[in-house]
Formats: sequence, structure tokens, C-alpha cells
Amino acid sequence: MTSERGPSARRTIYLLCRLAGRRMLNRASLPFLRRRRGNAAQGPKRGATRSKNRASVLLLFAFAVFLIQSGIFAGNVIEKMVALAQGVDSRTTVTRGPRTYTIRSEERFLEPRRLPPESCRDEYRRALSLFFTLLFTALLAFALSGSNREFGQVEWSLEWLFTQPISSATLFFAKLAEYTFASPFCWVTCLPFFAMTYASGEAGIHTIPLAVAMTIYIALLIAAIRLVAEAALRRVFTLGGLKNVQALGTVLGILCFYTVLYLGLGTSAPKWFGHAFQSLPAAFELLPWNLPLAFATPGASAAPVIAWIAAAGILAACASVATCAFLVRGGLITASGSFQGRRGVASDLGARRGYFRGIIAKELLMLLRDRNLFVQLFVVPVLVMGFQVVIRPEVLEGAASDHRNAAMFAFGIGAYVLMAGAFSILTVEGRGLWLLYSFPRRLSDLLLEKAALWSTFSALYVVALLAWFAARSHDSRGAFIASAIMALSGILIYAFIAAGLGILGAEPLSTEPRKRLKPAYVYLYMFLASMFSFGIYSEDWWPKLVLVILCALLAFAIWQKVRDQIPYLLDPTASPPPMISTSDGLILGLMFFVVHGLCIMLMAMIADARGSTRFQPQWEHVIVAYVAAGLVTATASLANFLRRKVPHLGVQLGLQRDPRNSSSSLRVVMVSLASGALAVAVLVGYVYILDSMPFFKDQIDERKMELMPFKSLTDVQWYALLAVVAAPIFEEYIFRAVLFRGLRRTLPFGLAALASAAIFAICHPPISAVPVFCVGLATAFCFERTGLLIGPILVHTFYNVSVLFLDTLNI
Amino acid sequence: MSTILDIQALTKIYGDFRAVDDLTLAVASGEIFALLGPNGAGKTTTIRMLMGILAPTSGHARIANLDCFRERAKVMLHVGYLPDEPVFYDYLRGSELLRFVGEMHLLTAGETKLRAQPLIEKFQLDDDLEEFAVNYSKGMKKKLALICALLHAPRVLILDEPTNGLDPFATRALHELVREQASSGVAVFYSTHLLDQAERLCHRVGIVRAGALAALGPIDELRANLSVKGSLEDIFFQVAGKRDSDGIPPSGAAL
Repeated sequence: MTSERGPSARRTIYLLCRLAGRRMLNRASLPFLRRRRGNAAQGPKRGATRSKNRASVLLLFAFAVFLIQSGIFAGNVIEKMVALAQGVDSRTTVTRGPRTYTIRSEERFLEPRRLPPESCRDEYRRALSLFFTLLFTALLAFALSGSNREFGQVEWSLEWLFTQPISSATLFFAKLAEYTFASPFCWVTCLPFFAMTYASGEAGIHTIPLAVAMTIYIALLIAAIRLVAEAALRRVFTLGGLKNVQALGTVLGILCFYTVLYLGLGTSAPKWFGHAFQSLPAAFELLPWNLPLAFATPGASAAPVIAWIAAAGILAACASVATCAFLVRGGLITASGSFQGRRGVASDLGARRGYFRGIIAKELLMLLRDRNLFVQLFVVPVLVMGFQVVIRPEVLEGAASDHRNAAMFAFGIGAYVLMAGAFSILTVEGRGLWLLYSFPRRLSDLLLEKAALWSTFSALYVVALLAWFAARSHDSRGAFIASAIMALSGILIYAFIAAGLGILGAEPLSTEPRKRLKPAYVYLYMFLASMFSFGIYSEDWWPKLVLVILCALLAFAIWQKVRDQIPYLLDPTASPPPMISTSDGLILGLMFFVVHGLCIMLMAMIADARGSTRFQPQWEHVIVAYVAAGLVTATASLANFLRRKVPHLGVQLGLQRDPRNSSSSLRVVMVSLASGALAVAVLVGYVYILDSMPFFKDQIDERKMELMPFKSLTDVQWYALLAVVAAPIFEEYIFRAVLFRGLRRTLPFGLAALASAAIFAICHPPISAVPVFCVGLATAFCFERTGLLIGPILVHTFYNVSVLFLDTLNI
Repeated sequence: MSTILDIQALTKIYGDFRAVDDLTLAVASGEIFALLGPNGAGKTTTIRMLMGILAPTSGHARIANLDCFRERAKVMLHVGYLPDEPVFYDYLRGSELLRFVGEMHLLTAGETKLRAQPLIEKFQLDDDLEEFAVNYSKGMKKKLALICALLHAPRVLILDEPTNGLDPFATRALHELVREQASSGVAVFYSTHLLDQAERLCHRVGIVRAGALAALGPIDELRANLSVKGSLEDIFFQVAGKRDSDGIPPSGAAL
């Protein structure tokens, strides 16, 4: 039995608001709902409700934290406005520091005595009005910006609601109510601001209810304008035009919001703000959104102001609903296509256009046409960094003065652009990923092309900034160029690191587009990017080289993992088979250094606890730490490999004989000795060359003084033990068994050997880099030929013994 | 006629759920094969395994003697794919999409135009190619996706619910195209619900239920084996309409 009428207006509004609230809660609580990968087909069943309640509690907590932060910020703003107002009144109260007005920093924000004296209360309110106008503009711009997802789509979600048995006016009222109450950003910014303002305006117990009422009013104003905009702009603009409006909204919103932040966070209110608010007429406070500020100072008669505000609110609501109902009287509007009415046969199918082909061409086309995306990827990072520069201009001065600061600044902006763009190369494909799967090319290769595109983009930013700094720099050309090369090579490598991390952290199966990227990977990237500062700021060339090589290896390790995982990208249950990867080698190397350092520290602590004099690590300490680190690393890695069930582990690590590679023990020994002899020959030649060049000989002698001297025979024995037994075993395990294996999996022998030898070389002092590099090559060759780890161990032992021998000869 | 698409004991398990259970079938060049089944029977999962998007839990799928998962890139040289709901990028016109797909299949622009033009005319997409693909209706999107699939003259066509959303003109055009391709040696593998269309078009039929193959073979043979006098619909309901979990194919129907 169908009912005669639809639901009443009140019920409609209640239902729609509840629906909007539920949607918002679900969307925001998605990160807290854990979805087990194995049961993807069945979906969450009993556990879902429990975790939803947990999610709501966490959400409330997060919301409360934001409110408190906002309140503290509002307090800062009020302090500044008061100081501004007082600065106008009595010019003698001005100023420490370079700016016109200063703040007394000893005031705590809860002090209500922030109210200025009677004489300058009008100025205070006017300053607040100007500030609030900026905030209001920011909120309005954000309401129409890229964060408003309905705006940029072809269909209007309202369309579905129109199929319900409700009149259009009721529907628009309901939408208005939804936008008013379900806009968390507006509430988090306005509510604490009004509360703090009214609290210092001595509103007493009326503070909270008044603040809530005024926030509702402001949210209503924004909602009204937004509703009319959504309806009207659709009539005027096409889809492309709407996206442009969104882009504009994003830029305007960011500019205004950052100005607001600047006013609150800067050390003092700037001069232009002071001049601006002084030149405002009194009628400025009567603008509809500034009306609530009448209560900022005590003594305003409540009733007329509230009446005005209520009238304004009702007027805004009715006007917007009436406008919308009028606009849709002839039928619901949907955004028209961009090229409506342009008909005709496609003429450019055969024409060769542009120099770019394939996926690069597609990316460029999309970036140029989707202004919203363009703004978010290219303009927003500049705005964000620009804000930092504006709020602290000494950053720019510091960057212009020192070439390393300039390099770091340029690298920073490049890294920021990468974080926006390179991170999303997979997620930006969205649901069109199926098309890439239908091409006869590996998906990882296509994504690598996109990563290369983004490395070009970020390099452009870096080059532009460096050129600008170069014009202003007074440093020597050579030093500047060195830093510039460092920054540029860093950004090229980090483009691939960012792209790789973005792919690893993406979840293309997720239906919620915003949740498609795990934030942990973004934080990891930011951490890694900041680590690059070591290289830029170090004085010596050796740490720079080390860092570049390590970063390049890291990028390779990440992309090796990407290539492993890409075939299983859209499969919720399967994952790549366990294998030894380059990343395992990297982690092991890092673990070794860390544990070694920790052991030395531990020994120092023990020595201090025993009360002995300042701890100097002796050779026996070094070897103990070394062996401990080696054992810990080796056991940890073996345990990990066994847990992951890496197949043929013994053969892979060279601990067991490979049944396919049948070389006898004698052959193994012969190959090892031959490789070892080669390495030693290089060593002898190297030492001879160095000895015959007096410049280098001095360098060697200098370095020898720096290293730990042999004080007694036991020292020599310890060192011998280290060099002949411990070092070969552990180093060969890390660098050959794991790192070389991981590299060899995807690289041909030559490249893998070179890479592992390079890493091996940078872990040793620079003086011995060249012979150690050759040892690395020799051991890699030996490992490849024999397939057993004992081979490289023998080679390494041979080499170390030769070094000892030569040392004793020289002594 | 040689087998070009070969599925052997293909299985896909998600946790406890068997999406595809021990599927075995083969399609020869020039043959039109229809995979029928109720919702959730595993048709789309099978097709995704053929496309190398999903990794089989066990068994294998081979096209032109190349493993569909391990050598996916090479397999795509021979395969044209039409998904159920093609989603295209925003901000690209139909013509630009066609050029993009042609470039990715290493065709020159001239070749792309040469191959696409007759298809565009057949599907009557001429007027709409300058429009952004995201504004197309569902039928137009499918037509565009079909043209994309045929650009590189594949030896195997994999179509997921191809006539879903097409108007009668387009449906007829699609059927004619499929028959044309089959007669020129292309193997066509498609999944569908529309039993009367399948009956008119395909040479052989496979009916899946709950992931497992319930019947396989030419329609006449199935009719004879199951002693059903009626249409494919009757066969379908006899085989796939049961509620129990019996998944054994009727005797003599396997090929």
C-alpha cells in the first residue's frame, strides 16, 4: 500500500542530515577499520561493528585535539589584535624588534585581561573583522575547491535525491542543513575562535552557547553560498570550467588560509595589516559575516545584534534555497561535456602531433587539461614553501648566502614536488588501470617511464632555483657547482625513490580514492629526503660520494621490490614468492654498522661504570664488537630467510653446493686463488704507484697516523685475527651472499658485480677504495663461478693477508 | 584447428573461498566460445586470470603457448580485451585514446587510422570521437573499448559481457564482427548472461557454477547428453540451476 505523500519536510531534513553524518563517519573511520587480506571476498562480518565503535572514539579524540589546537591559535590571534589596537591608541607602547608592533610573550592564553582599554575597542573589533574576513574567504574558497568532490564530476549527487517523493525546496533546505552541520573544517576553525573571542570579551557563561550559535550562522552563510554556486555554476560552466573554478578555489583558499596562519603564528602582525585595518570604514563591521564579532567586546546590546544575525541567517537560507529551486525549475542541471556540439570526423588520428608518444603524451595531456590536478601537483608545493619563506624571510637570505643552503633549499622544493606528483603515479591511473594491463609492455616499465617524467619535472624546479641563487651567490664557482651537482643528482635519484615508495604504498583495490596511499610511506620518504642533507652539508667529497651511491642503491632496491610486486598488484591474496633481494643486503649492511656502534658504546659504558679513565677503543674491543655485530646480523638474516621460506636457501647463500654447478673442490680453490692473486696484484701495483708519488705518500702516512696504531704484539694478533678470520667471513656473507645475490637476480653479472663492489668499497676508508673495489670484483667473479661462499672468503683472506704482509714489510 | 587458448586445472582460492575450481577447457583458432554462469560463478575471475591480472593459485592458463601470468606482456601482443565496464581517463578525447592505444601497441599513427577507420564507421562513432571519453554513454564506451581491442589485430579476443549495454544496432554489429573475426581465424572467448545471443553466436559453450565447470561442449551435444529438448536456457537451468553443491560435469560432456 503506497503512501499518499512523501515524508514531511522536517523528517526529510533529519534523515538527510543523519545520512550525511553517517557517510562522513564511515569515510573518516576507514583507516581504523582493519580489513584482513585473506577474506577479501567475504568482507568484514562480526568484527566490523566493534571496530566502528572504536573508530568513533578515536575520531572524537582527534576532533577534540584539533579543537584545542585551534583554540590556542585563536588565542594567539586575539593577543595580536589587542596589541595592534593598543598600538594605534598609544604609540609609545610599541616595539621591540624590527617590526612595528610587538607581542608580550609572557601572557598565557587563558588570561582574560587581553581585552584592550575602552578607547581602542573599536579598533580591536575592526582588526578582528579584517582577520575574520580573511578566514571566511578561505573557508568559502575551500568549499568550492578541489576538496569538494561533487563539484568536478559530470553527475550531481543531488540527482539521486530528486527521485525521492520530496519537493525541490525541501531538498535544498536539507542540503543546506547538511552543508551547515557536516562541514568539520568550518567548525574546527570557527568554534574555538568565537569561543576565545567571547571569553576574552567577558561573555561569561554565555560564551559557549553564543559561540555555537555564531558558528552555526557562519556555517550557514558558507553553505548557502556553496549551494547556490553548485547549482548556478553548473549552468554557466562546462565540466572543464568547473574544474578550473576548483583550481582557483584551491589557490585562493591556500593563499587566504596561509595569511591567516601567518597572522596567528608570526612573531608580530605585519605592517600592511596594520595599515589596512586602520583604513577600513566602520561599516565594515556590519558585513553579514562580521556581525558575530559585535560580541567580541562587552557592552554590545545583545538583543538587536542577535535579531540582525537571525534575520541575516534566515534571509541567506531562504534566498539560496529560492535561487536553487528557481534554477532547477526547468529540470535538473548536469554539467555538460566540454566539447558540446563539436561534431565531425576525427581529423587528427593520422596527423603526427607533438614529440611525445605513448604514456608520456597521455600524462602531459591530462596534466595540462586538468587544471585542478595541475594546481595540486605543481602550484601548491610552491605556495606551501613560499609561505615558509614569507613567514621567515631569513630562510631565503640564508639560502642565497651559502651555496649549501641554496642546494638544500632547491632540493627541498624538488622533493616536495615529488611527494605530490611522483608518489601518485600509480594511484592517478585510478580505475583506468585495466587499459594499461592490455598493452604488450610490462606495467613496471610504464611506471618507470612516468617516474622519469617526474624526475624531469622536479629537476626543472631545482635547476630554476639554483640558477636564481647562482645569480645572487658570492661563493666560489667551483663550490657552487659542486653543491648544485649534488642537489641535482639527489633529486634525480629521489624521483625514483618517491615513485617506487608510492607504488609500494598504493592500494589500487581500495574503493575509497583518498585511502589509496598509505601515509607511512610518505613519512618514510620525507625521512629519507631529509637524510640527504648529510651529503649536501658535508665538507669532504667522500661522504658525498658515499651518500649518492647509497641512495642510488636504495632506489634500485625499491624498484626491484616494485617489479616483484607489480604482477600481484590487483590480487588481494597472492604475493610474490620469497626471494633474496637487494633490500635485504642494504638492511644487513645498515644493521651491521648499527650493532657495531652499539657494541662499542656498550663497552664504553661498561668501562665508565668500572670507573676507568676515558674509554679508548682498543683492537680487542674492535674485534669483539665486529664479531658480535657479524653474528647478530648473520643470525638475524638467516632467521628471516628461513621464516620467509626462501627456496634453495643454502644454494643461494653459497653454503651448499649447487647440484647444477658441478665444480670440484679443487677447482673452487684454484679459482679462488686465481682471483685472489689478481686482487693482490692490483694492490701491489696500487701501493707501488702511491709510494712513488710523494704527495700521496704523505697522505698515506697521515691516514696511518689517524688509524689505530699497533702498540704491542697482542694488538697485531688481534688485528690479524680480525683481518684473516672475522672480516672475510662476515663481509663476504653480507656483500656477496646477500647483496650480490639480490642484485644478480635482476642485473647481468657485470652490473651486479660493479654495484656490489662499489658498495663494498665505500664501506672502507677512502684511501683503500681502489684495491678494495677490485677485491669486490674478484670475489663477485669467484662467487659467480664457484657458487660457494668459501671461494670469496678465501679470496678475501688472501687479500687481507697480503695487506698485512705489505704492512709488516713497510714497517 | 589448433588450440590457442588452453586452460588446465585453473584454480583461484581467496582464503576459504574457491572462486575458480579446477577449470579445464581449450579454445581453438576460429572458434567462438561462450562461458555462461550465474553471478559469482567465477567468470570474471577466469577472464582476469587469462589477462594476467590475477595469479592462479594452481593450474595454468596459456595463450599461444605463453603462460598468461608469467609472460603477460608477450601474451598481450596476441590478445584483445573488452572489460565489462570500461573506464577511461578523464580529459582525453576518443580520438586521443585511440592514438594512445595505437602507440602503446607500437603502431604508427597512420596504421592506427587505417585500422580504426572502418571500425569507427561500422560502430557509428564518427561524430563522437572529438568528445571527451568520460562523457560517453555506456554503449559508446564499450564500442570505443572494442575498437581499442581490435587495433593490433589480435589472435584471441577476450570479451567480458560484450553486449551488455549495447543497443540493437551495436549488438548486431558486434555479432557480425565476432563472426567475421572467427572466420578469419581469431579465437573468441566471451562470458555472458544472455543465453539467446550465446545460442545464436557461439560454437561451443561452457557452463560454470560456483567456480567449477558444470557442462562443456557444443550446444547440440549438451542437448543430447542431458536429454533436454529445449533451448540453451533450459540446458542452463538444468545444469546451473540446482541449489546443491554438486559440481561434477555431466558424463560425456567434457571435451
